Amino acid sequence: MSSRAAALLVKDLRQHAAVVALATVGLALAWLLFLLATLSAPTTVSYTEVHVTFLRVALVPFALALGNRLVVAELYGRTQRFLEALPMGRLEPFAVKWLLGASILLSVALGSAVASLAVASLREPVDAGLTLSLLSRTVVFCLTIWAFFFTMGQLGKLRIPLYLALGLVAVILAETTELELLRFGPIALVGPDFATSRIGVPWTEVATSLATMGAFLAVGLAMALVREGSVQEALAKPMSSRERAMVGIATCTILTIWAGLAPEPEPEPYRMQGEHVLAGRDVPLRIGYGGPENRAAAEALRARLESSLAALRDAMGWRALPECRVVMRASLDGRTFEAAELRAGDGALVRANFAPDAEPDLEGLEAALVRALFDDRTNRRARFEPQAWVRAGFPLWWAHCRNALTESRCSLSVERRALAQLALDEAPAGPKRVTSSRIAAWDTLREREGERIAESLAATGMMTLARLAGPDAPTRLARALFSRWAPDDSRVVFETLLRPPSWHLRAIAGVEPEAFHRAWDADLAADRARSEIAAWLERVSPRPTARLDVVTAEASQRTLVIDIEVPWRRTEGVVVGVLTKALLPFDTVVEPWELRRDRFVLGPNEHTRRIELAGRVSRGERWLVVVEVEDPREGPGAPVRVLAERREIP
Amino acid sequence: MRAAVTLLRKELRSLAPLGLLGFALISGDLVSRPLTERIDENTYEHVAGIAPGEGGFLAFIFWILAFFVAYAAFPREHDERTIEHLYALPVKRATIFFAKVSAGLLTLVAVAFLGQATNWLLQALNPNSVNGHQFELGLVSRVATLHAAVACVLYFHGLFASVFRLFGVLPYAILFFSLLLVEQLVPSLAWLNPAVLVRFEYEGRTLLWPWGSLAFHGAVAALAGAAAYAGWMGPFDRVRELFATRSTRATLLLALGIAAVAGSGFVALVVWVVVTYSIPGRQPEDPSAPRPVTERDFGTAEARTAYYAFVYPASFEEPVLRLVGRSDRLLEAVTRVVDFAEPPFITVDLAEESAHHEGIASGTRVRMGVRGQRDWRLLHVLAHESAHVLQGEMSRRYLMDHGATTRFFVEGSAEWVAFEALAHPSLVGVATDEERREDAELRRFSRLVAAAAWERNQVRLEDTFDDASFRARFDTTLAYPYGETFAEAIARACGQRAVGALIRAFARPGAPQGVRGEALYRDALSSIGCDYEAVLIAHDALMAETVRAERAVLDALPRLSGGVVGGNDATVLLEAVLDRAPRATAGYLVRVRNDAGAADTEVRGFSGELDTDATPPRVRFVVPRIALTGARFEFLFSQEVDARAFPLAETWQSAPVP
Repeated sequence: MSSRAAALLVKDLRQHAAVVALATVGLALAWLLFLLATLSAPTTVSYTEVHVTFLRVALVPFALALGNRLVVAELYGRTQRFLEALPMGRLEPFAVKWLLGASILLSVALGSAVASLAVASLREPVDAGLTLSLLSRTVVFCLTIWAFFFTMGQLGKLRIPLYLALGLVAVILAETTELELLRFGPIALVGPDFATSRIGVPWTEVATSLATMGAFLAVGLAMALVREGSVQEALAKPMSSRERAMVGIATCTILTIWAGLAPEPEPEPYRMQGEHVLAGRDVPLRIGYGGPENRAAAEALRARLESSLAALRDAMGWRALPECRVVMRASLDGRTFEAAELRAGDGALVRANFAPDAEPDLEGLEAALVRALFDDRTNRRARFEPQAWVRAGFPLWWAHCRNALTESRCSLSVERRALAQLALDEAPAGPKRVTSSRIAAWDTLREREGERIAESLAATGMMTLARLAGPDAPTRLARALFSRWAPDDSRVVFETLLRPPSWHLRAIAGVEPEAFHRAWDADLAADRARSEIAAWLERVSPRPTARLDVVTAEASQRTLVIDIEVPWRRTEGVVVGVLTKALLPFDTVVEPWELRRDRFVLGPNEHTRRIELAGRVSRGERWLVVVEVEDPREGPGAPVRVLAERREIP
Repeated sequence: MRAAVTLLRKELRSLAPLGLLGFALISGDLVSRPLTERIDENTYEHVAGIAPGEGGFLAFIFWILAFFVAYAAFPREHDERTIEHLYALPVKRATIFFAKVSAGLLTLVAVAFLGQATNWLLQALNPNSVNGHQFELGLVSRVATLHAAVACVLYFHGLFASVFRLFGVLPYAILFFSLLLVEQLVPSLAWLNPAVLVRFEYEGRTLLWPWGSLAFHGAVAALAGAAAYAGWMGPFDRVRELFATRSTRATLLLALGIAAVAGSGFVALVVWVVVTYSIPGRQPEDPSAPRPVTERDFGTAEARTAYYAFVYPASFEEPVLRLVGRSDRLLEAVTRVVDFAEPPFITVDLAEESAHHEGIASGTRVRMGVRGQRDWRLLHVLAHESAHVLQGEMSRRYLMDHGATTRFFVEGSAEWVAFEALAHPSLVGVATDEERREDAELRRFSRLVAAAAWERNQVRLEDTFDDASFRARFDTTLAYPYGETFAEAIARACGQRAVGALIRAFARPGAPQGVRGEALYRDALSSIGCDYEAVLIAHDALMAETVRAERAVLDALPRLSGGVVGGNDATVLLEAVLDRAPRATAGYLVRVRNDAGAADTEVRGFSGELDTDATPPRVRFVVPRIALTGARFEFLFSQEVDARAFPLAETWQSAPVP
């Protein structure tokens, strides 16, 4: 037997030695390259990293090519038949080839290991623990991958589908179970701790890898022996391009469907806890008030929100409310609210400063909480632009009118109605109006007018809706749009195509959207004529103006020059805010917290101001520039946005 | 001509399945996105992956696809000897080659253009007035053309690799790795990677043509194509035969000879480079400059304690032994801070020389530099790096493996642990009072930097949970000072032991695996009975308290603004204007990178020279042009608040390379 095996070995060596030698030269060069990389990489922790890089990047493709050369080529070339014709069992060629391949791989890998340890010894103690760890991992890893590629080679044309299937199984296991593939057997052997472990032989990983190797060897052996190799013979035909492509497409399809249907592991629902948390009595409300000094304010807020949330639950037809939370954030002013980004379905959380000395806008806070609740209940679909004006307006209307739902003339506060009028002020191109196209482009309107003015305008739309279709019409519209969960897929898209927000508006208001918008515009015009509104508007009239120029500075630098005119009677203490953001080449919706804010305070009788923002902007950029003017003492409670431009910098 | 067309049609037919596979790979999202996304909220940028600096993954897909298509051209025809039927036809070999190559290229170009057509479908329903109109024909045609270009370039490489059959994949795998590495080490050589063709740059809204890269990679692809022709159709048949299953002795000898000559040349080159550049103390320097003797030799010595094994330059024995002698007590203090009783054995390389960091840790291994470091600093760095080792052990590497969302916590809590350990009562008498005072001062300046970033750049704690978007706007070294305030806020809100408990919480059984960002911290903090919102409140309070306490210092720190003011063939000149009087001790730094996707190691820093005579005062920075690549680059001005602390930076700005 030994002479037959020796003859086989000589035959294989003659057939493959030169190619293997050439590949080994290439691998040696690759090792040197990895050494150079390890020496110069700033993130190198141990010089033994050269070896792990070698195993991962070079040895695995080499093992694949070797398996192809020793096994697949022989099967596809039908030269296997010559071997089968020889007077020997099927085990001998199997063993010879396996041992030859394993020897080649081990020689290469151990060469790399020894050389790496030699380099590492310059800068770290190479003790028995490190050496044993490195060598045992190397040997077992080599044998395992060789068993894998050798056996896959035995599977002939099935091997490509099997590679893909194994990849798929790995992905699915990683996604659906707690099994972490990087910590599994042979993969863990060359894991992140490969270069630094000094615990000797990692027995668990070694045992798993050897078991894996054994399993692959058994399959390979079975392929070679079962029915005298006829199965192997049957598979020994290359796949056609069409078959390969079909296998690839099938894999892509399965992965695609899997990506769509895979359940995602979810953390426990968030439950607010802590010392300074006030719980609701009838609704799942929790208010984190930060410290005892805010407890009274929190209790007052609880009383207000409890009744609002209970009424909203009934109005929207929800069986139960998710947890609604308000948290004190002292760094905010009384009219700015932050909605926390919770996982969809995890309830609502709004951060606000509701301490009495911050003069909190409690209606605004209530509206912000309702808005966050809509986002949560609809899986954030409420923000979809065609219905975003309802998301902006209904909560504010609700905060003002929920106690007067049976009255047809419930109204917003004068302050809010005045703010809504600011969205209609004279613009350079003429007076702005409420039109279908303007309301449909809600994100643009929000950017141009500012959050508070936009939501005030939207809330006046709810007043018009209540006038046209009854006091419960805004609630019915909100219920139609925001009471249901929207899945993270395109079912909701088709539903929106069939029944867009305008369809719901038509169904509820009983008028065409254009007619509704005309009625809304007319209501606002009538409101503007009222003395109390006119008095408020008087404080911010005439409307300030601003002009933006981009001036060339040195080389590619540009200066943003903003000329502001504030024709108000009193300018002392008036605040000019310049909000800027560098944009990507593509337009995206910019949220308020993304903007950098520069603040300038005008002096007495300072009706014009030139602001130069130098040293920030260069040629070829795109910037969003927003200019706001506000009189904190006498203004209507929100800055007037006098300029909002997306400008390409020439 | 007719024969060529017939051949082309035959090849196109045979490549149709692979074309379909390409379509599935590039446009498979036509199926997956409707299943996983609301397509009326999609934007073109999102579905096409064409943001500045993106495109690496798509290039990888094209790499695979192009190799698949290229390998379908010749190897099989030769293996099954069907090529001989083609040779028997009354057409030239060049025509056969041309027909096969044309079919492959047409397939890839079709896949690239179809990809954009399906991208249009995927965003066509978006009605948004702001982001719903990103799809413009001019942009799309450029995107498709560049995708097709990279596919064609890679096709020619694949064609050349196929000469060597499956062994051809091996050098390309190594090449792929090398290109990634080269890019990390020398960012200005990024153009060597064909993927640069689909890593888009913009001027305003206009996608720029990478003419230089197109020409270079086009030329390389032509060479690869010519070599492939020679290998498959021309005089190098024998080299190709070597990689078929049959080979002759002559071809083997030829191949080995070539490999030996090429190999020895490469080895000589590598040895020369390693010897010249990589061994510390051998960097070429100006021979005329006076140099103090800082090191007598480069021999290393080893010292062991109960918890550590140190390898250090023998010439630094004195300071090293002062550190070594105290290291076990230091580690015990660190373990007390994080409540971890079983520290692993740690090996430390003190011969580290790095321009990027003072120390680095992975697993149970630490590297840190000893040269030019004071004793207290060595203690601090060792405590910081040892804390990283414990973080890895306690979280079962979770924190290290999820750096995209945990980086600030990892670096910040290690910094916090180092400060707490050095202030720990058990170190009284081990660390001197002076050393503890120095460390406390470092902590003060660290907090100052964090508070300045909070106040001036409006950095929110929530911003730090997404490392990629944070690094696009802000200085990534803020991970240390700002992260330290995060850990302090956790300790203030939930007790001193909460930081250690949180580290452990990431490895608790049943911890959700796929959670990121705020939700991850909310969940992990909940599991230890600590509320995320309470931490936010504590963080706000800490920042406000620091701002109040350091008001005078903060107001004295100038803000820096500016940009490119000129340049020549070798350098680019940047200038920062200070908005108030400069501080006497401050140093100024500009960091540059190609784009927001650059890793920390790809960022280069350059010191500036202050011109106090100018009004207002200015700092000039000279950046070697070789540090910049592409049409645009990004820069970040920063200033020293204290020589011991991380600098205080403005936000990243962008400019065209002059």
